[in-house]
Amino acid sequence: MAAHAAGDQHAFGELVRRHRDRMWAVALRTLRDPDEAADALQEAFISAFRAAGSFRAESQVTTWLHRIVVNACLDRVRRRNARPTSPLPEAGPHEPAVPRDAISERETQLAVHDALGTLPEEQRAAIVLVDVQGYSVAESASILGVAEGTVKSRCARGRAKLAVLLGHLRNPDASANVRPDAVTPPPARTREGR
Amino acid sequence: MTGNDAPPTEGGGAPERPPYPLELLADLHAGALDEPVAVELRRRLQNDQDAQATLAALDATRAALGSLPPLRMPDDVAARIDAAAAGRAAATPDAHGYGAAGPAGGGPAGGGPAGRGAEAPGAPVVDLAAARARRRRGLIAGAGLLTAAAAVVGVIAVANLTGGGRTPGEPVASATNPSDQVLPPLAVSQDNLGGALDDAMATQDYGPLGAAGRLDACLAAVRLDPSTTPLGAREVNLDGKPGVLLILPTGTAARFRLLVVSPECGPGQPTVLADTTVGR
Repeated sequence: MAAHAAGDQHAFGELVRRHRDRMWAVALRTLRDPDEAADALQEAFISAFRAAGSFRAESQVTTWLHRIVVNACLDRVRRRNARPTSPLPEAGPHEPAVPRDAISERETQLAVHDALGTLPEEQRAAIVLVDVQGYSVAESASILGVAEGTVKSRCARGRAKLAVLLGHLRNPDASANVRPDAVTPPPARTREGR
Repeated sequence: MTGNDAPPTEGGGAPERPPYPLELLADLHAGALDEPVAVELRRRLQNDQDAQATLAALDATRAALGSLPPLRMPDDVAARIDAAAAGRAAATPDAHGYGAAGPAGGGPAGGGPAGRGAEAPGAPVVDLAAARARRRRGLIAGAGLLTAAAAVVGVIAVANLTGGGRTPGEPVASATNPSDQVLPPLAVSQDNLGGALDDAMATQDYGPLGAAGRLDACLAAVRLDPSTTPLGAREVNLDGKPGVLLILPTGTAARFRLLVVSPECGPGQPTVLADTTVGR
C-alpha cells in the first residue's frame, strides 16, 4: 500500500481485487445468504474506497477491509434477527463444482456449513476467520476489533458446540465432558474482555 | 456448565478431578486458559481418556472446518461492486481519486472497529434486487464484465453491460435505498449533473419509470436498447423540472452516460432533459 501513499492510484483497486474472493468467503459463510453477502460486500467495499486515502500500509488496509466486511455482515445478521436464511445452493456460482466421487466429502461440507449456521453470530464469525479462512488469532482479533482472548473464547465455545453437532464427540450424553447446551464457560475462566 | 454441577476446583482454576466439562477442555484446546491453569490441566489430562477423546474431537472439528473449499466471488457480484466503486470515483475525484468522503477516523489509522457507526457513515448500497432477479432467472450470464483495475480510483470498469442483461418488460427496482425509504428528488442542474453520479449510482430509484414496462418504453422512445440495464437511477429535479436520472454504461472504463428523462418518458414522449457523459 506504500504505492498508494505515493500516489499510485492502481494500488487500492488491485488490493481489493486480490482479496475479494477471501472476503466473499467470509461474507458468505458469515451470512449464509449469497444475496445478503453481496449486499454486505458492496456496502463494505464502497466504504473502503471512500476512505482509501488513509491507508498507510498493506497490512493495515487488508485487515481493515476484512474488518469492515465482517462488521457489515454482523450488522446484517443482527438486523435480520430470526429471519430464516436461504441455504447455499448445492452447486452453482458460489461453490465449486463437486465431482461425483466426492459426494461424501460434499455432504460433510454441507453438514459443517449447516452446523456453522447454528452458532451465535459472534462465535460463527470467529470460527469462520480462524478455522475456515485460516487467519491467526491475532489477525482475527484485529479484524473483529476485539481482544485475542475474546477470539479464543468464542472459538472455544463454537468448536465445542460444533464438535457435538458434527458427531465428533461420540457420546455427548455420557459424562460431564459433553453437553451440547453447555457452551458458556464460567466467568472465572473466560477472558472475553482481554 | 453451571456452578452446581461443576467438579470441585482449586482456587478458581481447573477442576480438581474429572470429569472435566467440555467448555473447559475447549478453552484449553483454544489456548483461552491462563497458562498456569493450562499447564496444570494438561498434566491432569495425561491419563484421562475421556478428556483426550474430547480434545481429539475438537481437533477433528477444526479439521472439518478447515476442509471447506475456497470460494470465488461470482462475476456478477464483482461487476456490481466494481461499477459502484468506479461510479463513486468518477463522480468525485480528489487527490487520491476516492471521493470527498475521507477516512475521518474510518481508516486503519483511526483505530476501533471500522465499517460501522461514524467510521463508515452511511455507506451507500447499490440495490442488488434487479441483479438478483436476473441471476435467478439465468439471464445475466455474460452480461456484466466490469474489471477492477486502475482508472481514476484504481478501478477500471469495463462496462460491457450495454444492450444486455435485462429482459424488456421486467419491472425495475423502484425507490430502493439502504433504508428502504423513498428518496426525495435530487436537486441538480445542467451545470453540475456529473455531481449527481455518486448519488444515482448508489440507488435504483426509477420513480414513475419503475413500473413494469415503463423503463423499456422510455428507453425505446429515446432510441436506446430497451434491454439496457442502468447502473443506477434517481429521481431528480433538474433546474426546477422533475426528471429521472439514468446512469448508463458507455463501454469505456470509468465513463458513464447521464441521461435525464421526463417522468412521462415513453411512447410519443421522448423527452430528454439532459444528456451528458462523465468520467475519463
